[in-house]
Parts: sequence; C-alpha cells; structure tokens
Amino acid sequence: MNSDVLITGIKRAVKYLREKKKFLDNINVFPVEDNDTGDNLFETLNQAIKEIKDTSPHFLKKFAEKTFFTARGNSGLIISQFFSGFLGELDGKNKIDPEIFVKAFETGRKRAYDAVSKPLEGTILTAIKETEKALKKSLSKGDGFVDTLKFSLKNGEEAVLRTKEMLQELREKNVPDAGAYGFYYIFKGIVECYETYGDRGDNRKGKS
Amino acid sequence: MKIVTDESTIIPEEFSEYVEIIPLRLTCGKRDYTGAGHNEILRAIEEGKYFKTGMPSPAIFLEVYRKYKNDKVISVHVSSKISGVINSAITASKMARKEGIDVVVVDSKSAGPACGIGIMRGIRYYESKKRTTIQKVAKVIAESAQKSYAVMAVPESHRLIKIRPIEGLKRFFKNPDYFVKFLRSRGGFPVLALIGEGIHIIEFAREKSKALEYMINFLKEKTKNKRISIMYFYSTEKRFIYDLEELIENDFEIKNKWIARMTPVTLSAVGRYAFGFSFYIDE
Repeated sequence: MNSDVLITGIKRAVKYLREKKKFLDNINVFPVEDNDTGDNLFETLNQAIKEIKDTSPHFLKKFAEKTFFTARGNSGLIISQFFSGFLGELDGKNKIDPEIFVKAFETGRKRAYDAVSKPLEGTILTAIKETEKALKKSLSKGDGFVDTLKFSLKNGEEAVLRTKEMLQELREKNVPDAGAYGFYYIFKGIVECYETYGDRGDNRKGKS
Repeated sequence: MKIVTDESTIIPEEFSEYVEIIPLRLTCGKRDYTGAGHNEILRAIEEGKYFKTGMPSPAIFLEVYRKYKNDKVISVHVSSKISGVINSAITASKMARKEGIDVVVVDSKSAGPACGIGIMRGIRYYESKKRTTIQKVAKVIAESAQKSYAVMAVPESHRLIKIRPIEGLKRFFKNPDYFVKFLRSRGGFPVLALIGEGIHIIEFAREKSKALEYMINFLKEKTKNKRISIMYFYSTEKRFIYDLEELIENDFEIKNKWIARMTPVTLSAVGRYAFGFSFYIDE
C-alpha cells in the first residue's frame, strides 16, 4: 500500500458515508436518540476533504488536521483523533507495509480512546479496537496484506453487530451503535481500495 | 486566571471579566445560527422554528486557549452525561498543554445553571485568596457545581422534546408517575429539578403561581432553611424573577444573589417564558 491508495480509500469512505448517513442517523440511539451520527461523521470527513487539493503534498496529514476543525459530535471527534494518529504516521510514506499500517492503526486507536473523558465500549471505540485486534491476529498468522485487511473488516463488522448487546439503549432498540457502524464503512472504503488498486497507487487520487 | 465555558452554562454578565463563553453549534435545517444573539433566536422561535445543538470542534477550544496562553485557564463544562462538549475541550486541552498552555478541564457533573454557580463560587474563592492554584480553584468549581441544585419552569416545554440535552423528557410518557402528574395538572407545563447530572420533573403546573409554589417547596425541602447563595435566571421575562425574589427573600437567608439571562442556545432549547433559579447551601 502507499499514500495514494490510502487517499483514494478515504475518498471512498466519504462516499460510503454519504450513501449510508441516513441509515446511520436512523440507528443512532446512543447516548441519546438525536439521529445525527451519520451526518456528523459524513460532514466531519467531507468538509475536511473538500478543503484540500488532490495534488497537495502531505495530503493525509493535512486531511487529519482539517478534521480537527470540522469534527462534529462525539463520533466526529473520535474519528478525527483516530485519523490524527493513524494518518499522521502514514503520511508521506511511499510504501506502507502491513506492520507499519497496524502500528499506525494502534496509534490511531490510542488517540481515539484519549479523546473522550469516559471511554465506553459498545461504541465506535469498540469497532476501532476490535478491528485492530483482528489486524494483529491476522498479521501474526502470516496472512498477506489484502487477506489481513479483509479479515479485520469482517471481524470489525461482527464486532459492530455485537454492540447491539453491549449498551442498554442499543439492546432496547435492537440496533448496533451508529458510530461503530460508521467506522466500519470508513474502513471498508480503505480496504476496498487496496483490494482494487493494490500497490499501484499512482494517479489514483481522483478516483474513489 | 481565565475561565472558559460554553453556552450551556448560565452565568451573570458581571463575571465576564473572568469568563469566556464559547458558542455551541446551533442550526435550524440548513441555516447556521451559531453565535446568534437573543433577538435573532427569539424571532426564529416566534416563527415556529426548532433548533439542533452541536458541540464546538476542538479547534475552536484550542483557539480560545491560545488566546489566554499567558493566563492559567480553567475550562468548565456541563456533565459528560448531558453533553459531549467536554470531550472537545479535553482533546483541545491536550494539544494546548503541548504548546505550554496551562489548561485544567473540569467536568462539572451538573447541568448549565449549577455549572454557573460552580464557576461563580470558584471566582469568589480565587478573589479571596492571595495565593492559590488553578487546581484548587478547579476543585472548588467542581464541588460547588455538584452540590448545587436548580429548578426551572418551562412553559414552552414542547421545545424540550426536540432538543437533545433534555432528552429525558422524551421518555416521560414511559414514567407512570410523570404521566399521572401531567394528567392531574390537566396538561400543565413541567417544573424541572436539575440535580447533579439528572433532570427530573417535580410537577406540572398550569399557572405561573402554581409553578412558583412547587419551586419554593423544592427549595424548602433541599435547604431546610439554611443560608443559601442563589442565581435567578430567565429566558425572556425578567419580571418573573421579581415574583420569585419576593417569595424567596422573605423566607430564606441569602448570602449571595445573582440574576442571569439564559444564553441564546438555552433560549433556543427551553423557549420563551422559562425561568428558575440555582442555589448552593452555604454551610
């Protein structure tokens, strides 16, 4: 993987959030039923990406920095901090091998947990944590990069669905956490781009 | 020392020397009302508009902390159980500290009116001490806010149903006790008690006089005639405060008294004619 593929992946993530934001809004019942998590996640990333030129050097770092300004709601704040750690470590790298990717993901996860006064499981934090666990597990088995990403995406989605049982508000409505599901779509965008483009990242920025 | 808070907090203007209030994000459909004044919000309310609040981004907090880089900053916010604003402040404060800015973030573990009392007591404590630290002032603020109570009448309560911070009301029909009270009042408006992080309905009242009675009873029950410091607050009608003052100041010993107008964001949530008071028992 390289930075260009990651940029394309983030664009695809934004596209997914645009498509899924109504769905995410509808299942947003925790901590309160204010039905705006999809919109908050989408706007946090979309506003940030709109402000950076495709050809801008250090696109990833700039994108992460912009989300600090555009963060909306708790989920937006958490994803902003995740990207600050994750992309901060990957920015400018011509080659991102699986070990570097997982290490950066870990930094992102730590920043995400640090962003809230009382980190709570059953939320977007759980989706990030469980995805990271799966990344590490797959990597330790010696899987290839694509397989590692696909395995962690699948495990991440299962963790998202398990959030239904983790918080009373979600149990009552029988829905997974909207922020957690939002993270799944963001990660899905990145994983799919790597599946599509592999290490051929040149001139892919405009595509999603 | 500078205290940074956000628009959820209710605090009298006379403390503005010490306090900077960061506006919450306020929208109505596609229109952005962030930072709008009372008159603009009032006009929108009269046009039947409903608002949605959102927390400011950490970048906004960081910008304000940077402004006071030569001061010691205490950033005080309503409970994390009521609003996510404190998370934005915490994130910004970590970055500020890396830049050498001295910021302490306080979760008041209370709602806006009690948070205001906590801040005022913190300022008075700071003024009374020749030598103190912001950690000590922050402790006074947190303890005072948590020990404060507030009571509020909300005649335009239909607005609360749509506003996030007081979403508990949305569930009131699930609570048989509230439902009985509501029916007994023949469709009155709620008189709310804000205790710590919780918001409870004391009773429903159809007339202002009845609301005043419930509020005074709550005050009597909580203070047992001990000396209090009190902050009256209102959304649009200051004259309602005069009625409260008359009733309270005849029967209670008051150490400190303040009057505050609710912030535009609070007005957008509770609507017109809302009024109440927060108080602290002075041991």
